[in-house]
Amino acid sequence: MTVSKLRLPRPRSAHIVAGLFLLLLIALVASGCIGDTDTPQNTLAPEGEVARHQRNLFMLAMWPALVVMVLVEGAIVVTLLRFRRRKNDAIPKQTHGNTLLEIGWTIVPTLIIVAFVGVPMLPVLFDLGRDPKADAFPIEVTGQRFQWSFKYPNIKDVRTGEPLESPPVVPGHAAELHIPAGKEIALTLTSVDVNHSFGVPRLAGTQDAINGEQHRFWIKADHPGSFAGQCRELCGTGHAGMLITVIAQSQEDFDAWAKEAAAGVKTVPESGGPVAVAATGSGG
Amino acid sequence: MATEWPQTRKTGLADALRGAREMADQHYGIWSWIATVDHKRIGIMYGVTAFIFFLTGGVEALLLRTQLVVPNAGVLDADQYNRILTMHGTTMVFLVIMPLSAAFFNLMTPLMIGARDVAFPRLNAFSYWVFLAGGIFLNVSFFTKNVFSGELGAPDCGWTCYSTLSSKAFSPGHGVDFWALGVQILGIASLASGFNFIVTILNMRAPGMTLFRMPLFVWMTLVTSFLLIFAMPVIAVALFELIFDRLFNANFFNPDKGGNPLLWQHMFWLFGHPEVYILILPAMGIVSEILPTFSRKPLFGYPFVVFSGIAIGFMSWGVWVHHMYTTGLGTVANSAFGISTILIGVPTGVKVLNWMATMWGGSLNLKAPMMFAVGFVAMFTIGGLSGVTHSVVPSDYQQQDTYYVVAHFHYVLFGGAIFALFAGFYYWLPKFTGKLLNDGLGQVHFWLMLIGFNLTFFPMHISGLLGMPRRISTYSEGQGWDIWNLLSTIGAFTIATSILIFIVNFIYSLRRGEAAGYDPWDGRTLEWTIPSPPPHYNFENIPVVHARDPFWHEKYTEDEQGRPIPVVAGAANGHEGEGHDEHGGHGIHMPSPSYFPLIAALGFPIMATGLIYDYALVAVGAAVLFVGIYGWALEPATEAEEA
Repeated sequence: MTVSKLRLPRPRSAHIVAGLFLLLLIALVASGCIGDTDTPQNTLAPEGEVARHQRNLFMLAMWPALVVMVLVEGAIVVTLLRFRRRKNDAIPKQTHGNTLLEIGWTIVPTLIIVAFVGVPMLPVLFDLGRDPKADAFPIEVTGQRFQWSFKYPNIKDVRTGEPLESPPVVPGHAAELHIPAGKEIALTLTSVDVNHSFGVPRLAGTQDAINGEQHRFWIKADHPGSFAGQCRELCGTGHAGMLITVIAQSQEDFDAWAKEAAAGVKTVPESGGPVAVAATGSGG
Repeated sequence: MATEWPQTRKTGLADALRGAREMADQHYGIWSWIATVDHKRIGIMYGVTAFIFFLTGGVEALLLRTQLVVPNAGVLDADQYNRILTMHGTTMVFLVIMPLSAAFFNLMTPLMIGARDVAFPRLNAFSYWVFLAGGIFLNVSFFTKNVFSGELGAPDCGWTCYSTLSSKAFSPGHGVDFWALGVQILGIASLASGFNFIVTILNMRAPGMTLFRMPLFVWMTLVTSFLLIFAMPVIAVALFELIFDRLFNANFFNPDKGGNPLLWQHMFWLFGHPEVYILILPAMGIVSEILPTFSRKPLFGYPFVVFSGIAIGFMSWGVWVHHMYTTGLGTVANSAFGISTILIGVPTGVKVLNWMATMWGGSLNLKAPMMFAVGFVAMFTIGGLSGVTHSVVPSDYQQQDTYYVVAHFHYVLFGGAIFALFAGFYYWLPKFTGKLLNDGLGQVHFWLMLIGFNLTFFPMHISGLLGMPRRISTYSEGQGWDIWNLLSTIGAFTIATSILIFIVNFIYSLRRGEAAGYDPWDGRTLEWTIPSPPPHYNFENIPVVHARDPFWHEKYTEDEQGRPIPVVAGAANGHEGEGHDEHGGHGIHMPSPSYFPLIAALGFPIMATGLIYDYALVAVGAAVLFVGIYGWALEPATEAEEA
């Protein structure tokens, strides 16, 4: 092989490498944008403790994954250009493998992935999965086709003497869950019919509501605000319209709301949730 | 030839049947296909049928994507959307990727191990007919309501068909009955082929073909077959329970009567995760054949690739809860399955590195089969990496049931399995059609599909991270999802265009294609030592195998410095050309054709229809099945010698 032939792939490879860096840059910018956009259900823009832990863990896994992706795809392209068949190519050396190399690339990634993903994940997993604290504010969440309802055991409805329950949802609107901001909320999730899943991404990842199961977990909003969510588990024709708005208020505002709601005063629904979706169809 | 047609007119039914069977025996006419037990013909039928289902599932995908192109679109209502969604998933898994893999098992395994057919040729035919029956049965469900007024009768519970949505109370109508019974029927086909290929591979290898000389594709067929025979019974039990719940008011999954909906999820995914590897291991096998051939190098680290395949087979039984992290199983279960999910990424990563090392230093022939195989490695890697992000349990609570998951499994199943299956088409179809597929059109197909695929599914990562739940029939504006959905829909139609180009290429090449000859790709394995298309007995003389990549070693030797050089013409010690001229296959006894596998297979859809509509039909179906099996048992395996 002549020198010129050997050199032929080099400028091309350089282009490819440059292209890959461009790709990486685009990926960086794109993912930066995802974190910054103000879309209501952005999983990477947390406004609650649980969601923040989840975002941080995701980043911990996503960045190495992106780097590996760029490296592997880059290596594939470089290999294709560098070793594509040319006229008068000799038959290549018949390499059958390299045991040391292969043991290496079995063990090293195992250690890396366990150390960098598995180990950091466990404490968070156990923290998010722990029982809610004793002083957490309890709320019972029930999924049913095709709306969510909420029951506040600590607030007594003065009209009935029973715990306060959310009013039926106006069709096409989101069910409203009121919580005090900055306080741990203990949710008990269940369903009266099919499986649903309670996802409010800015506060916490989704959890399933299953008929016959009482699923307990906790969430916490950083500050007052309203946070959109919706059912994540296919539950029938109204699945896409089974919306949630979590309204987090300062303790005083929340207490005021609770007092009025318990007295039966109609509160004007806040318009923070997603616009209604016309998703109810015919049939069962 | 036409003058030799047997005289079947004016005679009784028995004579007619015998005449038809003789026709089948002589390999012409439609009856020769219906009664065939030839693994190559069965493989072709599997491939054609599954490809038609691929088009069906593809049209369903286009309908779904059209509905999602803009917020609040009115193309499909929620009911239609859910039904088409269910059929898209079920079709692509059970009627496309599994049977396309089965097509390659059938076509290639006997050829690659130097056998004349599979161990149980009639059972093989039975597998195909049961698969066809199950596939048609599933799709008939569309027509159980008035389709022409826009009401679809298909199942509406998603391909996972979770309880209690699948119960009679929440999915009235017969859609879910068709789904459960249809998948049950398909399971019978899978079980039969699983056993068949295990026995074939273990018992029918040519002399000298030790397990560690087997081509990688055969290894992956073996591992997949074991997964099939262990995984299908799990789903079979779950389906029986669902059928009992729906038809006989049993309460396996009914929480109001002490049943447990979560039980379904456990059984479904205990089947479902091995199933994922049932879908992907054959693809890995195909790619592990193509990369060495087109790199002119042996597979790098053959034992590592084999053992990582086996490791994946075992580990696939220990990760099912990662589909159920958010069901509230507790932190201990979630952490254990999170770790096992991290670990199953390792053998997969090992394979990717081995494939890349195979190409490194090779002489890469970038024809269409190679492009698709490389496309597989490139796209599957992305799917694998997003899979690793799923193993991070707490973070997965955010991605669960969003489009991020949809992106992930399409990178694995489309970017992975479908790319590899197309690689297999371009690589191996010439062996059976005798004609090479046009490479130019193949390249256009590849690039268009690669671009369309990434345009469809990469944006789904982003719409998923922006919180878009999967399986919603529509969405509102202002969520930041619009642009990503628009891109996905454009991508889906781009893929559809690329598939049309493939169809054009296939038809064009069948008529005008370049003749393939014995060995168009400078192949390394036994299938390239015989003519294209192969005679029905495959090998005139059963080859004797002396090494891994046996055909390569017949064609190439090494000079004094250890560099590979072609064997001097005439000096070959092996089998090339050997025996192809001598006796033309006379005296080779092949199994005779049989109608009984088809008759037996017909019994299942009749029984299933009976379970739904009228129990009397169950008896009819059982009788048909009995007749089929009885005739099958009593008929001689090979026709008696001519008297």
